[in-house]
Amino acid sequence: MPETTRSTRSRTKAVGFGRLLLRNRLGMIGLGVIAFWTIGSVFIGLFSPYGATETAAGPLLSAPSASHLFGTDNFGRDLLTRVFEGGKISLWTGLIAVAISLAIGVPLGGIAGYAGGWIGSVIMRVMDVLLAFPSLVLAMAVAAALGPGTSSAMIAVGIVGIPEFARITYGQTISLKQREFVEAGRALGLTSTTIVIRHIVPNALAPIVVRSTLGMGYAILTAAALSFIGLGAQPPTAEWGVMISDGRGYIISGEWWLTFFPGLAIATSILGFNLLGDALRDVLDPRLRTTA
Amino acid sequence: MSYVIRRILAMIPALVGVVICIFLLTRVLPGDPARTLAGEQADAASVEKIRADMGLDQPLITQFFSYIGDLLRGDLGFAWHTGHTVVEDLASRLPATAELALVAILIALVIAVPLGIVSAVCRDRWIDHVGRVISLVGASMPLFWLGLLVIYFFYFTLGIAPAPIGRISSGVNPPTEVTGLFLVDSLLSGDTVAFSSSLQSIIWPALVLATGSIAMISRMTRSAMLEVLGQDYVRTARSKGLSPRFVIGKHAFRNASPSVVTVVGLEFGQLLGGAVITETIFSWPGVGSYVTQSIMATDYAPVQAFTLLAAAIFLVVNLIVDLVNAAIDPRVRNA
Amino acid sequence: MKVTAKYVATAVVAGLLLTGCSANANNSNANDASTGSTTLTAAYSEGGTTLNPTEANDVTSDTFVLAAYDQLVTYATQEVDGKKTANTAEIVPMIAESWEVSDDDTVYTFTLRDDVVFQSGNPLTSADVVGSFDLIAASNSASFLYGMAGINEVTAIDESTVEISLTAPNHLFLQILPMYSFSMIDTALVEENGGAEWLATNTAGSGPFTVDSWDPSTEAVLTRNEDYWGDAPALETVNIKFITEASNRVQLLSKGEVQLALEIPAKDVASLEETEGVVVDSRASNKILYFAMNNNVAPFDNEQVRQAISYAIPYEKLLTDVMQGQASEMKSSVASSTPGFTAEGNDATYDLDKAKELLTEAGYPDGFTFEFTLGSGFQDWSDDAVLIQAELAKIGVTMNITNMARAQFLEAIATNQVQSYISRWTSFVNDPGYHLGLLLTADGTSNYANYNNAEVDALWAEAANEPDQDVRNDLYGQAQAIINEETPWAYLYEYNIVVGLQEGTEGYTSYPDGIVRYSQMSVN
Repeated sequence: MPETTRSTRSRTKAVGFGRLLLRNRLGMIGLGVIAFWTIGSVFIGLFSPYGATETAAGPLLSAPSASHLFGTDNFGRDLLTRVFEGGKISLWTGLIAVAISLAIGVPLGGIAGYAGGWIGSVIMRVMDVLLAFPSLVLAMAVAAALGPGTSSAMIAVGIVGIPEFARITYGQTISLKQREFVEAGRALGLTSTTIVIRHIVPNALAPIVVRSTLGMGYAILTAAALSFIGLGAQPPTAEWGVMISDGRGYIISGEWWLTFFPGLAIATSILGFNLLGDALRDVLDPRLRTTA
Repeated sequence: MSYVIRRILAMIPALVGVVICIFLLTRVLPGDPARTLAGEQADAASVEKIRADMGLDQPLITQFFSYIGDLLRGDLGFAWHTGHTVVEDLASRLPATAELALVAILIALVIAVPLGIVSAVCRDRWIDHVGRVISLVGASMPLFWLGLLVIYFFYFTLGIAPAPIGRISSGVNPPTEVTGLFLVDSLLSGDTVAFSSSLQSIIWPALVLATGSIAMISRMTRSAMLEVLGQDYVRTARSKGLSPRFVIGKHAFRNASPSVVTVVGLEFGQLLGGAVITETIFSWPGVGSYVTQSIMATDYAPVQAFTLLAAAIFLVVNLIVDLVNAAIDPRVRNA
Repeated sequence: MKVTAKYVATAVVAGLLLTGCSANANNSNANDASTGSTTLTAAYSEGGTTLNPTEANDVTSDTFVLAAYDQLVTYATQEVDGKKTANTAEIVPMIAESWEVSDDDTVYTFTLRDDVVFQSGNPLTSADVVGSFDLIAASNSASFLYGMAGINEVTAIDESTVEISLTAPNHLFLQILPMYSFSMIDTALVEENGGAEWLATNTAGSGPFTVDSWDPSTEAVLTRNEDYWGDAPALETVNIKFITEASNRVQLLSKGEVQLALEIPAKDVASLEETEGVVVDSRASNKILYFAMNNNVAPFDNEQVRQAISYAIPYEKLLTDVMQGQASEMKSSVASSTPGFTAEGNDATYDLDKAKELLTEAGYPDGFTFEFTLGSGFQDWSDDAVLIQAELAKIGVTMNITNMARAQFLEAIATNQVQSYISRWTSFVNDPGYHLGLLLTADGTSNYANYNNAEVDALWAEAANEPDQDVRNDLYGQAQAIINEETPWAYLYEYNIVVGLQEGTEGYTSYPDGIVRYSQMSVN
C-alpha cells in the first residue's frame, strides 16, 4: 500500500465510498424509503388537513377513499395522518434504542478487546449471558419491569442490542490490535487511549455503521412488537404497533385497513434500513459479504 | 473429547448469569402477583394470605436460595395463572412449539437453500437480485402483521385455512400421544383425519415463521457458496470437465455447509425461543404464548423457567453446531 | 434448472393436497359439531386457575366449580320477556331440603337431603358440611365471604341436620350461601388425598358434571355425572375451549364450530346478530363501570368540582360509540338490577355549560389539571378515556392519562392515593349491603377513592342488621341519595353480559356472576 498521509487516505476513501454507494441501486432505494418516512412524519402537519388525534375527522370506520387515503378508524380519525404521526415515534424509538446499544456496547467491546485479560473475559461473558436470552422475551421482561410506555420500549430494545455491538467492536479491536500501525503507534510512544481513539475506532467503524443501520430496522420492529403485546407505547398514542393491535379485532368485520397500513409502514421502513445496511456492507468492506 | 468438555464447561457461567438476571428481573416486574391472583374484589387480608402461600413475604435472599434449591431438585416452580406446576405446563406445551419450529425450519430450508445456491451460481444476474429482494422482504416483515394478514386472506376471505384456534380443528380428536408431535403421532397411528387437520393447522403459522428465517439462511448459503466457488479447487474441478451439478453439489456445497449448518442451528434455536407473537396470534398452545401470558400476569416461575430453558437450548444448539462443524472440518477442532 | 422445477412441482402438489383435504376436514368438523345433541362446545377466553371452590375467583374456574359441586341452597330462576334469568331475591333448596330461622334471626337450622352422594361414592352427611365450612374459613379467598356472612359457628346436630349461628342478624347470609365459594366438599376424599392443596387440580364434589380433563392451554372437558342425585343434565359432554383472541371466538361461533361463546366484543354483536344460525343474548347485568375521583386529593375533595366533572361526561357517546349499545345507563352507585336501587339525587347529564358553571362556583373558572390512571387490558376503558379527555378539555380541564399494566394498576389503586381512575365492579351477591359495604363505606376494602360520609355509614350499619327487606331497601335508598348528591364517582355505564349462542342451544340462564350452569343447557 502506498504511503500516504492519513488525511489524504480518508478523503479518497470517503469519495470512493460515496461513488460506490450511489451505484448500488438497492441501497439508494432503501435510502429513499427512509427519507420518505422521515420527511413525511416530520412534516405531516403540513401535508395533512387532519390532526392525528382529531376524533370525527371523517365517518367512523370508513374504507380508504379520496378524502381519507388510508381510511378512518373507530373514532373517525384519519388513518394516514396517524400512520405518519406514528412514524415520528417509531423512527425516534429506533434511533434512541440504537444509540443506547452503541453508547454502551461499543465502549464495552472496545475495552474488552484492547485490555484483554480477565477484564475482557468478564465483559464478554456478561455479553454471552445477554445473548443467551431469547431477545424478544428479554425485551418484554425489561419493558414490563419499567412499566408500559414508549421510553420503556426504547430502553428495553436498546439493552437487547448491546451484546451485538460489543461483540463486533471486540472482534475488530482484537484483530486491529495486532496490526502494524498499532505497533508503530506504540513504538512512537502514543498512549493507549490515543491509539484506541485515533487508530482503532475509525477502522472498526465500518461494521459498526452497518450494524447500526440494520439495528434501526430491528429496533423499530421489536418496539412495534412490544406495543402490539401492550408493553410499549399505549393507546391512544399513534404508534404503529399500537395501531395494529387496536385494529386486529376489526379484521374479522372486514375493516382491513386499520391493520394493513401501519403494518405496511413498519415493513417498508425496515426494508429501507435493511437495503441501506446491505448496500453499506457491500461498499464499506467487500470482505464482510462473506461473513455473517 | 477435551474440546467437548471445554465447551460444556464454558456454558456454565453463562447459565448462572442468566439465572441470576432473570430472577432479579422478574422481581422488578411491577404489580403484585398476589393481588393479581386474588382478583380486584379481594380484601387486603386475602391478598396477604395468598402472598404468604406464594412465599413472596420472605426476604429476597431467602426466595433466591429456595429457588436455587428447587432448581437443583428439578422443581421449576408453580405457575399461579394456570394452577399447574411449571413442569406440567412446559411438558404439555413444548411439543407444540417444537413441532412448529421444526416445520418452519424445514420450509425455510427447502426454500432458502436452493435460493441461496442459485443466487450464488447465477451471481449478479437478475435472478440473484430477485432472490436478494425476496429474502430481504422476508426479513423486514413484522411477523405479527404477516400473521394477521394470512389469517385475514386465507381463513376469513378465502376460507382455505382452518380457524386459528390451535394445533387441530375443534371437531377432530388429537392422535394418540407418542412423541407429542401431532404430525408424527398421527402418521404412527395411521390417523389420516388427524394428520390432515394438524397439517392444515400448522402450515400457516409455520409459513409465517419461516419467512423470517428464509432471509438469513439464503443469504448465508449464498455468501458461503460464493466464497467456496471462488476457490482454486472448484476451478480445477471444472477445468477437469466435471459437470456443473456435480461440482456444485459435491464439492462446493459440501464445503459451504458448515456455515449453513451454523446459521440453521442458530435459527432453529431462535425459533424455539422466539415464536412468541406468532403463537399468540394463531392461538398456538406453545411455550411462546405461555411466557407472554406469564409476563402479563406477573407470574414469576414460568418466566424464570422459560428463560433458563431458552438460554440452555441456545447454548446447547451452539455447542452442537460447533461439534458438527468440527466433525466436518478438522481445522475447527484445533481452534 | 431441473432442481428448481422439482421443487416447484412438489410445492404445487402439496398445495393441491392441502386445499383438497380442507373440504374433508371441514365436513367432519361440521358433522361433529351438530350431531350429538348431547355435546356442547364452548369458547372461553381464559384457561382457569384452580378447581378449588374456596379459592376460585375467575369465570372459568368458577364454571368448573359450579359444574362439579353443589351448594346448600341456590337462587331461583324466573322468566322475564321469554328469557330465563336468576331471581336472586328468592333462595330455593339444593342440598338442604329445608331450613328454619330462629326468632332472633341468628340461628339457621338446615335439614339435608338424604340422597346426596358424592362423585366418589361417599354419601354427603352433616360432617361434610361442617368440614366444608372449616375449609372455607381457612382459605385465602373465600374466608373473606365467610366473615361477610357473619358466620359464627357451624355444628352438626345429627347426620342430616346442620346448625349455623351468626354473630348478628345478617341478611347477606342466605345470599352468600349459593355462591360457588360455598360448595359442599367431600371432606373424606380430601383427607385421603392429603388436604386442601389436592383440590387445586382435582374435584371432590357431588355435582352434575365431572371435570374429565383440564389443560389450561387448550381445553377442558366436562362429563355428565350419571349418578347425580338431582335432575340429570341434558348434555353428556361439554368441551370448553380456551381461545384468547376475541375475534377468533366470534369466528368460531359464526362458522358454527362452537355452540356458545363468552366475552363477545361489543362491536361484533351487530354482525353476529345478522349471521344466520347465531343468536346473541345480551342482557343488562349488575356490572358497573365508574369514574372514581379521590376524595382526599384536591381538587376532588371539593364536591362541586366532582359534580362538574359528572356533567362533562359524554354519556350517550360512551353507550353508542364505545359500547355499541351493549351497555345501559348507570344511574346510581348501585346497579339498576339490584333490589333496592334508586336513582334519587342523581341529576347528572351531559351538559357542558352546567359543568363550566359548577367549576366557576367551585373556584376553578379556568379549569385545572389532574392525573388519571388507566389500567390496560380493556379496550372500552381506553376508548372511554380518550372521549372523556376530549370533553374535559372543552371546559378547560386537562386530564393527563397514565397507562399501567393491569397488575400494576390493581396495586396502585390499592394504595388509595390514585387521583382518578375508572374501574368496573360486579357484585356477585346482588345486594346493596354487599355492594355499598365494599365500595362506599369508610371501611370498605375496595373504597379506593376514600369516600367517607358518616351518615351513609350509619344507614348501612343499620340496614345490615335489619331483617325486613322493605325497611332495608328504604335505608339503602337514603344512602344512595346522599352518594348521588355527593358524586364521589361519575357513573359511566352498566355492562350487558353478552353471550353468543348457536340457534338451538337452549337453557342459558342469566346470573349476576355471569357464569353458565351447564346442567341447565341443551342442544337441539
